[in-house]
Amino acid sequence: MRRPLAAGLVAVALAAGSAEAQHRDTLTIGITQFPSTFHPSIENMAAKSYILGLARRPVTTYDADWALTCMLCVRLPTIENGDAVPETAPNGNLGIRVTYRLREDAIWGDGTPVTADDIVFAWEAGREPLTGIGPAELYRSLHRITVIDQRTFTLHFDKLTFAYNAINDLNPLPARLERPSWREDARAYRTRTLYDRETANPGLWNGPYRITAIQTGASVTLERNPAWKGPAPAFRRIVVRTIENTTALEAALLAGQIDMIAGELGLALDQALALEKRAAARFRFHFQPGLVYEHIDLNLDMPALADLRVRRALLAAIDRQQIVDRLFEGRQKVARSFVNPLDWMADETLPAQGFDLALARRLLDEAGWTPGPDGIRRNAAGERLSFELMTTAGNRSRELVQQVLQGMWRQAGVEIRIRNEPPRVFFGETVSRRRFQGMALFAWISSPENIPRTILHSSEIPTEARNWSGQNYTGFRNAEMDALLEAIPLELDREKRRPMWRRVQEIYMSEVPVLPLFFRSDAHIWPRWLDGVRPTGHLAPSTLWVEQWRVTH
Amino acid sequence: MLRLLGGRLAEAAFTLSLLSFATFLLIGLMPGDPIDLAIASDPRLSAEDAARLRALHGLDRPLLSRYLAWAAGVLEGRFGFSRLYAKPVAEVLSDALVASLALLLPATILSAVIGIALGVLAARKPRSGLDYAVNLVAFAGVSLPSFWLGILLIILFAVTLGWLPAGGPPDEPTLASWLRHLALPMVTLTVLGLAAYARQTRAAMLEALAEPWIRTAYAKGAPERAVVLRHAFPNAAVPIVTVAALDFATLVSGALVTEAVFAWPGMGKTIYDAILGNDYNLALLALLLSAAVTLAASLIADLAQLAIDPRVRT
Amino acid sequence: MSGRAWQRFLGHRAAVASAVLLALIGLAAIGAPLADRALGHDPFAPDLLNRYAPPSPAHPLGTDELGRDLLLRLLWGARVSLAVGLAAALVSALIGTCVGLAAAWFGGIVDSLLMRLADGLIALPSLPLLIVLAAVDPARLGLPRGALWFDLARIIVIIALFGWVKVARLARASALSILRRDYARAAVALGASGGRVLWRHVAPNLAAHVTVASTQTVGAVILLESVLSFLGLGIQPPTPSWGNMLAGAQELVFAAPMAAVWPGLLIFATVVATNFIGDGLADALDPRAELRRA
Repeated sequence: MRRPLAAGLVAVALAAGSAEAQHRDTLTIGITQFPSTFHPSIENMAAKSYILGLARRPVTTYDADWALTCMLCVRLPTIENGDAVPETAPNGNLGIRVTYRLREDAIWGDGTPVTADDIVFAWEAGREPLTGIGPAELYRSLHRITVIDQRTFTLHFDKLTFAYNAINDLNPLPARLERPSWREDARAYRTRTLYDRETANPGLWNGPYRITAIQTGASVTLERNPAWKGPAPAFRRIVVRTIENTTALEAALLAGQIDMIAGELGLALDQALALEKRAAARFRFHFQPGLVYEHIDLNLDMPALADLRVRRALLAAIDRQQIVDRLFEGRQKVARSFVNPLDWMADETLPAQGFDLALARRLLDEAGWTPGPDGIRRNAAGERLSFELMTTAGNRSRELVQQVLQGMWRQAGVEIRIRNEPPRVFFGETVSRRRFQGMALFAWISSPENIPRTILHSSEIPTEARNWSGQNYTGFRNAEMDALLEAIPLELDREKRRPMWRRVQEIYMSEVPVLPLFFRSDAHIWPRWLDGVRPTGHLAPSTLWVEQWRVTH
Repeated sequence: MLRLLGGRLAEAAFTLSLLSFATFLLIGLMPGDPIDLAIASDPRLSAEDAARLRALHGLDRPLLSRYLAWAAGVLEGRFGFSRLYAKPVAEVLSDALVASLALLLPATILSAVIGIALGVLAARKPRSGLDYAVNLVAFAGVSLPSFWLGILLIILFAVTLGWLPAGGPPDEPTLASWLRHLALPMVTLTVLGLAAYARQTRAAMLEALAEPWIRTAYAKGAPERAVVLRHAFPNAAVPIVTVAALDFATLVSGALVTEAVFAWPGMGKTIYDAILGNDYNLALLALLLSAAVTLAASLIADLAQLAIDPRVRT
Repeated sequence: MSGRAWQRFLGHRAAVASAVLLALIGLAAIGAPLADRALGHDPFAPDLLNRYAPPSPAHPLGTDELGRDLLLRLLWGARVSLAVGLAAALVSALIGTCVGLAAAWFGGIVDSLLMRLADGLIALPSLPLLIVLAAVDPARLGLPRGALWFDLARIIVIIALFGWVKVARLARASALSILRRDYARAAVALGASGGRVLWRHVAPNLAAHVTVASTQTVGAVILLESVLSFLGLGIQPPTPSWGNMLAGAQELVFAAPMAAVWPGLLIFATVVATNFIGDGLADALDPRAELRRA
């Protein structure tokens, strides 16, 4: 009795499945996370940034060529073109006032234009401590906004850095819709924002698409925004599906349930490489080198690691090129320092430490660590040269790298004890409170020409007194580096910054507070009929240019 | 009957409040509150911001006062806001519960029906070929890691054959879409579940069939079918009902692995995400909800027992 | 176990085969270091030039994602998985027996409390609570973080926290039925202490039933460990366990299926074996088994 019914169901399923594949007006994208909120300014999440890239545009952003560009503004205000003028800020510092003009065709989905008032509201909400919008630095240094007309406004900053015109994080919020609930109770705004209560409200979105349906934890559906005045996007509908298990994600791709996998939050690199071998006929694979800097922080408070020779030896003892070649088929670039080779200030002329086991052994001998009976070195006091290497549990790539490094260091007589923790523990406590006993393997993701102040400045070492904020987990203290980190942002001339950046890299590479590993590449997987996707390699998602995606045949 | 009900409800209330406190404590012992994580992931978050956000979320108060505040809120019907989903907890949970039930009810019914049938068949001829075969199937079901079975099914039906989707909730609210998306996770759960039913039924039926009155019934000339179904089965039904109730209840939270593999947004996955995401409100309520379901299920099982087996009443 | 029970057990073909299989696996696990020497590889040293190699004379089952010999890792993994399984089952049995006996002997309010506690624990959703317990940060309780022995001990403890209930019920029922018999009552009346009665009269009978229940627990624990590893909360690499080998291999299951098939197969075989053995023991020790033959 049951069997014919099952056969019937299967037939229906087959028919339905093949019908879907003919239409190319829907694009289904697979990602591995679901956003915890859809409000542009609350909480930084890659998934949110990716999805929101389809539905709302920031005022400025870095593009695929790593240059600052305008999205909602007409032109980038600079000191040269007169839209930006240095002035003295109320606190006495040298500040700057920057005037932006919003595009005429910047319109919210309900037809109302994006105006200066939307910027003002975003600033007011961000500035108010009770609202709970995260990093307040932007809102603090922006001390005043002058509204010149509906589309033109001037921002007054109380400090002047070379990135004075990048307001990538100041997202306009539809004041007409959101201000009332914020005014009523700023504290509760986070729970009452329409971005989460009524995400399908067209007035919240000013991009080529607007969000029309959400299945929490599973998918987000977007449709063409009729109010969008820019170039028409190719697809009527885009569905972004979240599948956290990467094996299931891969299966969904192969089964045709999703058309592409976003590289920003998709398969692990070696998984993608393996998939390429099997499915290159159906899909195009693009490996985008990026700003994700995989490295090992060394806890400089440990006596063994405080010795520069030991640090240099640790770096010399590992063959990073072999790891990249063997584990990642050469698709990731070995890092010389935290500066990405694609960033304009990367200085390739500085001498970098390569794999040199003999040098490592010599340095360790000099530092007083002699090999013991079991091959592990000991110092005069009989202590073993042994460190803990920690990283996030469940991240297979990192676990593989750890085990390979363990083997390599053993050749030099260094014992490595591997200990992993779930990301919450790892980032929330162990690393952020500097509790790791030796080495911590993880990644930084940043933006083009990002000043590593919080990572390298001596005032940013997390301590209890500072509420554990700051990210100088290594505990690096170098007066010259501090001075450079303070001076670089204030230098507006790019060519004058070049030697300063060179010196920063020089110090970083010679002092070795951190073992640079490599820059991660994102694996983007597109169907052969899709063209025009341009990944950036940094935090700006490729969806910010979705109107350029095209169907080819 | 009423006394039993009353007593059990009181016990349930006590268990739930104890559980809520224990869980609150345990989650508090989990490392990395959300502000710590925010600090670690966002370089621009300064010390003052951190303190401000902590105060805002009430994380700077001691554990006991936070628990009491939460408990007071719950008793008044304010279930709180889920930090992970940016929605009221009640909404998140009701969606998740519906999704779980849509998957679990058919799976439980199927595995119960198939499992019981297999168990009865096996018990009729112990040590026979059929018995061993049923045993093997039952053992297989219990011995496979659930995520492994799920992935194998995905590889076979979704990737190689392309008949069914690899997971996720249905794309459209149509019956066809629901059935297609439910098929694989349901099969996974059914295979894993029917083993327990088969074994329990077999064991219970064997015991029932060994009772002296069965021999009497045979001696009286009753056909085998009647003996098995009308005399032995009702006696065996009591432990089976208990298994069924508990099985369903544990599935509500325990199907989490299957839900993870098939990206099915059910209770199990919600609980897991909430616990590991340190979303106190959601985790606590989700756990309490599933505990309440379990307690309710065992109460129903006991009541069913009373109804089926008059001996238990004394 | 009495002679006749043995005979019945030996008559259960599947159980015997399973016992032999388990013994083989156990021996192989114990002999893992010898196997290392025999094959000449270090199962913990990565060999990047040899990843996912197919089976060959040097590597009978091929290599894993870091070029380590798969067969050797399976053997070392067997040590961990079997050890966790046996230890957790043993600890559950111990706790359960003590609790069950206490409930049966003292009766009254002690019995009531203990059984309520048991009922309460069964009523709770076990997997989420296990997750919570596994995710707890030991340092906040003053315990060491990250030592292997501690990870193992933690898994064993949290599984035992739920596992004792079944054994306790069994123990209590068994003890009660014996204690109510006349010879036990007589022994008490004659002044025998509680301990003596429990030891000489209850324990022998109990041991059999508890053994049956525990055998099945071993299989369940091995499965549970694999689930916890899948969720990232189980035994952490580089220590191999069948569970984490399986979880680690699933990402590349399309490219290199065998690395995932073998640990899954071993888990499957071991759990099936423990269940069959448990079944065989149950049949062997069941006094009513006699009746069916008639």
